Amino acid sequence: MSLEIISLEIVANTTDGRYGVSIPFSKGLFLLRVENSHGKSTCMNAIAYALGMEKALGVGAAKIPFPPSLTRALTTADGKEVKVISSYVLLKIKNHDGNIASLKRNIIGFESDNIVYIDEINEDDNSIKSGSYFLHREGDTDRDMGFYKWLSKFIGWALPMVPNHSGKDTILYPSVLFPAWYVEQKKGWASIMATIPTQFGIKEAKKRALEFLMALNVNENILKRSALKNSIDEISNHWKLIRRNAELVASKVSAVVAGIPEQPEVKFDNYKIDLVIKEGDKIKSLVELRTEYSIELNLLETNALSNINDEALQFSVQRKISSKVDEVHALEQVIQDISDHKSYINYQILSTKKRLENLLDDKKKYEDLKKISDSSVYDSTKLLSNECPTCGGQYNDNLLDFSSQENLMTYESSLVFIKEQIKAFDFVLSDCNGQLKFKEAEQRRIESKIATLKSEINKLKNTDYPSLAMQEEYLRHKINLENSIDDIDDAVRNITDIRLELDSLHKKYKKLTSERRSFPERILSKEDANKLLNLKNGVVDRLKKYNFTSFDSELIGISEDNYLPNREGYDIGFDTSASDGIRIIWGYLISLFSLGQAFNTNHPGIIIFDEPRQQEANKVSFAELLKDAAESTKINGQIIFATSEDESVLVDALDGYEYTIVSFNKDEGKLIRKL
Amino acid sequence: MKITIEEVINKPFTFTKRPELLPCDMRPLWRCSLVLIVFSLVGRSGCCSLKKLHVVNWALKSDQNSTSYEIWTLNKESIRPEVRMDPTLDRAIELLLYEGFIIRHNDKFKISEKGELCVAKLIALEVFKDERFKLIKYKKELSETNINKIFQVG
Repeated sequence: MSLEIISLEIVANTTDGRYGVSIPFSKGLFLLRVENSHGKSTCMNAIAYALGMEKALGVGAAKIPFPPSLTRALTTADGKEVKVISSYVLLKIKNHDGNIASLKRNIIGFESDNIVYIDEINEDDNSIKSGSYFLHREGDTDRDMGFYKWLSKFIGWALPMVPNHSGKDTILYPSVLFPAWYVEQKKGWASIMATIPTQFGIKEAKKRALEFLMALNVNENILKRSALKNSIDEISNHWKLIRRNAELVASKVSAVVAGIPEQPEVKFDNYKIDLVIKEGDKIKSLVELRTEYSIELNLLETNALSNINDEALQFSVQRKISSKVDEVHALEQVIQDISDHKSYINYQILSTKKRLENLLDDKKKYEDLKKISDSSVYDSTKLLSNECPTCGGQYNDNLLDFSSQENLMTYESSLVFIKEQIKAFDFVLSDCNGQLKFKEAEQRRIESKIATLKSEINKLKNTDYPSLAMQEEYLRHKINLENSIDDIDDAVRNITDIRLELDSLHKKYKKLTSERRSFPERILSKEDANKLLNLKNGVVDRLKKYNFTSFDSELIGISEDNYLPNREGYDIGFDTSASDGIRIIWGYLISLFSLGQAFNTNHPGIIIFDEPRQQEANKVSFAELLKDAAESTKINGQIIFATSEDESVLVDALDGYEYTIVSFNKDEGKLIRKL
Repeated sequence: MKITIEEVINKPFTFTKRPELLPCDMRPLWRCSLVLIVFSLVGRSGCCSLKKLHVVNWALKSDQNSTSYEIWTLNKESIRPEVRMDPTLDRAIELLLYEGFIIRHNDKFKISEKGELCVAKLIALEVFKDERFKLIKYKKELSETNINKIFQVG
């Protein structure tokens, strides 16, 4: 894959006719020499603009990276101001297949500036594609007429999907890759890839971009891991849903379901799932209850009614009523107990909630306090050191008693302590809620029992035909028993289904977690490691050439975490001088470029440096940089420098090397001139 | 590891006093910062009377307190809120006074330039969010006239 810039043309139609500039580029090292403030950056930004990369220049979103001379009015050579009516950029680029495309994009004018007119021809001058492609709108990376889709195909990039901040995958936008081969003059020299755009919400964008440019195998692993996490989350959600279902099934028969953990766990036995019911002080399985019911049913049938005389009948009705009334009384007693217990639990819940509320309040306050004490708000005062402002003596960190000697927790340990307490009380709360649920189920069951008993009593009392009443009572009891058995059967069947479902879910979960465990810690493959080693050697060699002096350049390594240079495993922050910071950017980006010549990578094989800050380095380093760039592009590729350095300096430095230079003299005026 | 009972008894015990947890609003640093915020948010041109500081301090202690104050401002004939004076607030005010964050101004206190600077930094830190919200909400009702009415006899 490669990209080469062939020519650039900027045209502005003004009230005074056409103004503009046309620059031919060439392969290898290319130098564009223009005086300061004569339009150098305008040209370089125009390249970025034509490639749809203006979001990666470090200027705010929705801004056009051009001076007023192309957007409002330009000053002619004789100092007159003329209005700009419309303006555009025309960039010709060539890819590895030899296809040449000309990209034309409006800067201002009647038509939208988010459209690029593309004319693509192949080596034999046959037109392949032409048309207007859109960008900065939904679909610019995947629709047929999306500009980035065209661009990545032209360069030969198969852009990967990478995780974004909202937990999903998003395509790696070409703009994110751009700062690795284009350094903008004002902001680009702050650090490596300083102008990387953030609005796409890509997680660790720099890292992902470097991975792709070096074609490391890492990205695939990361995607796999993220997908794995998503499917485990999905299983957890599904699990919760099933658990809720099981609770519903259980509550229909006034039972509770036991043996389903809140979250899928590795140790899970589906045979431990059971429906249990509390009767008196014992806990019974629903299956046991069913056996009891069926035994009762069998007894009933053998105990068929026989004809007896009226008095005996009345007597038996009376006895039945009495026994039922007794039962109701007993049950009412139980209900009373349950309600007492419930009120106790409710009280506990209330006080736990209150305690939690206080803890959360205190936690918030301590967090504020920690923030304050960590900041520089009270730096110059004695408030931080608890020193009396008048006598200088120490006082205790307690407003209640300044003179006490008691040992108080530090802010950090207070926070830790409060968090632990919150955890404990959260646990108590959920436990109480569980107990309450259990008691409520028990209460409902007994209440419905009392209700049926009472209605039975009423029916027995209000009948004129005792024998009929007895028969009715007998039948009702039988039907009730049969219904209860049916209900239990239903519930058990449902639970069996749930058990099977949970079992299959659990198997999936186990498989996924073991897969996750077997994932390698180090996600770099052998070839990846080779690439990073090559990159490191490249950077070290180059820094030696460029007179890097902040510390021994042999100490430089490439981090496996972010693929950026570090010093013995630590980030390079203020370890280097400003000029060495610039040298590191030169060395790193050119090494990244040369990596593409030794390995199979996704680097486009082009580097553009807008004013490489030679003033901040020194003449020797800059000359070395030029030589190195000429050397690196010998085989392949294109390196473009836009600079205001004197032509003689450039020519002297590159004596004996191959390069092309286009120079504009000061007395010719600004670059944008009348055509 | 198995420990027998013999190993445990007949051994000297040692006790270490663990550090104690203190409610955050008893920490001088926290309270002083809050008082500074109070000055800048509800002070009249940076001035607050001692009474006002006590009322605000009390109102910020709990939602119950602030609501009872709010209800009273709606109908001043109703029962007056039971404002509790907090001696720890006086200590915090003394600290601020001698550190030069606030100064005496007639019979009131006034926040100094140094204090204002600190408040700006505190607000930039985004701390005391809830407290600041409450203060801004009740700013109008917290006038010195209203404060005086609470304590007026007859």
